[in-house]
Amino acid sequence: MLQLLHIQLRSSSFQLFRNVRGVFFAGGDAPKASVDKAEAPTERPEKSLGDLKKEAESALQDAQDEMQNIEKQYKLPKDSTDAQLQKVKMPEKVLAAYKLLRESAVNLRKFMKAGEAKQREQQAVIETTLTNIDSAFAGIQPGEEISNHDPLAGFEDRFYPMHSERTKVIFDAPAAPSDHEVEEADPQLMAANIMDKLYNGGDFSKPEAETLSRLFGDKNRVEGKGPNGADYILDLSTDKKSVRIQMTEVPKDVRGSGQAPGIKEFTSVRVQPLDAKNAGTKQFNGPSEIEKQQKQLEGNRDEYKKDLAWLQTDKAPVGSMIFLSNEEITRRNFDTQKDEKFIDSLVVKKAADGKLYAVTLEAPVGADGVVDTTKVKETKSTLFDAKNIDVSIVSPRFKPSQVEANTEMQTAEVRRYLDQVAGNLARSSIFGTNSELYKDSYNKLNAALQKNAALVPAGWSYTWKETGVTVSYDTANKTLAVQQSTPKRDVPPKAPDNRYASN
Amino acid sequence: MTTLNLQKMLNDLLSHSDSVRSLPAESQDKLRKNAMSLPELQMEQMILVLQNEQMKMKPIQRDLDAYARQMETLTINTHMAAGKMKRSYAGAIEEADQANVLANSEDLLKQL
Repeated sequence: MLQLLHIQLRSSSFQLFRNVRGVFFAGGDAPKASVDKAEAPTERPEKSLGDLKKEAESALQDAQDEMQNIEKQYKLPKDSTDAQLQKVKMPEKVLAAYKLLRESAVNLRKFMKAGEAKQREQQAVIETTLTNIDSAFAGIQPGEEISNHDPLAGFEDRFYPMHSERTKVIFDAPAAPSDHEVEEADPQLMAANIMDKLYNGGDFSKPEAETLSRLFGDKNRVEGKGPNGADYILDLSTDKKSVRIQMTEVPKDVRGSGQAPGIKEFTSVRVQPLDAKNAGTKQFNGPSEIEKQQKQLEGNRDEYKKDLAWLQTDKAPVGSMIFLSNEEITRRNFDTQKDEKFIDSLVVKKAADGKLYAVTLEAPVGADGVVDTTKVKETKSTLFDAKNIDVSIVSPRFKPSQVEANTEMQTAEVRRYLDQVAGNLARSSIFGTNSELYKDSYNKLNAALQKNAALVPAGWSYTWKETGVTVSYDTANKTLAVQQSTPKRDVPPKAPDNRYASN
Repeated sequence: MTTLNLQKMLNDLLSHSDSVRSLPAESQDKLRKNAMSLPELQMEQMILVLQNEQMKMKPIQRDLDAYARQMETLTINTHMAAGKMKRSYAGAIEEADQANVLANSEDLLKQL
C-alpha cells in the first residue's frame, strides 16, 4: 500500500513539475512578482492574540450597547437589516453610524472566529507533535528485537502536565468478565473495547485475549480503526501467543493542513502477550510498518545523495532541482469563507550563483482539480538553508526526484536571480557606492552576469520603481551601470531582499 | 551527520518548537535532556517530527498574525464607530429636543 502511495505521490510530483516548468516557459515575470509578494516582511502585532481578543470583545460590547440604544429607541430588532432600517424614520447621521457599527461588529466577529479556528488548528499540531515526540522516544532500532516496550510507559513522567486526554484516563483493575458474558457481547463492540485498551495500555483479561484471538480467525493480520480514528495494524505472532500493535498517533482529520491525504504514519509499535503468564517468542511474519518506513527513509536518503551529488556538479544546469515533497494542503480563505487547495512542494534548487537553496513552491489547485500554473509562489524555505540541505531534509514517504532544467527554465532562473541581486544593488545604492553593501551586491551581480553570460536576456535591466534607480548591463562591452533618475524621496525605500544572500 | 550535529540541530529545533514551549519549564528541561541522550536514529526521528511541526505551524502562524492585525484595526474602527454613533445619537436627540421645545412653545402660544 505504501508503495502504491509512493507511486501516486511520485507521479503527482512530476505533474507539478510540468506545471512549474510551464511557468518558467512563460518567462520570469510571473514568479518574480509572486516572490516579492511572498517575501513581504511579516508584520507581527505587538500585542498578544489574547490581549487583542480582550480588546476586541470590549469593542464589541461597546458596539452592541450603542446599537441596542438605537434599536430600543426605534423599536428595531437586533442587528437590523437595511430593509428594517428603512421602515423607521431615523436621522441620516444616526443611520450611517448604525450601519458602520453593524458592519464593524460583523467583521470583528468574523475575525475573532477565524482566529479561534486557527488557534484550534495550532493546538492540534501541538498535540500531534507532542505525541510524535513521545513516539520518537519509544522508537525501535532497525534489527533490534521487538520487546514488550510500551511507548506510553513513562509518558506522564516525561510530560505529565500535558496530554490531559491521556493522563486523565485512569483504569480500574479489569474485572474479569465471565465466559458467558463474553459470548454474548457484540464482537464489534468487544473489538472496539480491545482497541481502546491497546491504545491506552494495560494487560488483557483472559476472555479479552480469547476474543482477540477469535478476531484474527485464520488470519495473522487485522487492520482497523480504533478510538479517535487512529489506525491500527495487529499482527499475531507465529506461535499465536503475542500480538504486535502498530498504530497511528492521531486521526488524520486533526493532523493539520500539511498532511497528505491517505498517508498513514505508524509511529509506535509494541507487543502485547495474549497470555501474560506464558509470553510467546514474539516472532512475527515480516517487518513492522515503522521498520518499513525506516527502510524507505534510508532508500530515499541514498537516492537524495545521488541527486545532490549530481546537482552540485556542472552537469546540472542552473534552475535544476530535486523534489523532496509534494503535498496537497487546504487553507481557509477568510474573504470567501471557502477552503482552498494548494500543492506545496519542497525542492532543492540550483540558483544562478551556482549555490543550492531549499525552496518551497506553492501553486493553487482550481475547483476542477487542475493546478494553476500562473500563480506559483516560490519562497526560500525557512526550515533549511544552504548549510543544512543534507539527508535530514528527506522524508520517508517521498522518493526524491531530480529535474534537469531546460533552456527556458535556466533563462527564467537567471532572470529571476539577476532581478533579485539587482534589486539589492539598487537598494544599497542609497548608502553610497563606497558602502560595503553596495560593493558586495555589485560584485555578486557582476559575477552572476559573467558566469551566465549566455543566458542573460538581451537588453536586460532592472529599475527600482520607488526611487528610479536603474541597473543595466551592456552585453557587448560587458559593463554594469547603476543610474539614478527622477528620485521620489517621499517614498520610503523597501528593505533589501536578501532571500538569496549567501549564508 | 555526526551525533554532535544531530544534537545541535535537535536542540535548535526544540528551542523553537511551539509544542515544546507549551510544556512547563520543568518538563521542557527534562525533555531536552532526554532528547540529547537518545540514539541517533531516534534523534533523527525527533528532528523529523519537529521539522514537520514547523512546516505545519508556518502557514497557521502567518494566518494568525494576519487575523491579529485585522482584529487590531477593526477594534479601533469599532470603538470609533461606537463613538460616532454616540455623537450622532446625541446630536439627533438635541435636534429632537429643540423641535419639542419649539412645538411646546407653539402649543403654549396657542393656549394663550
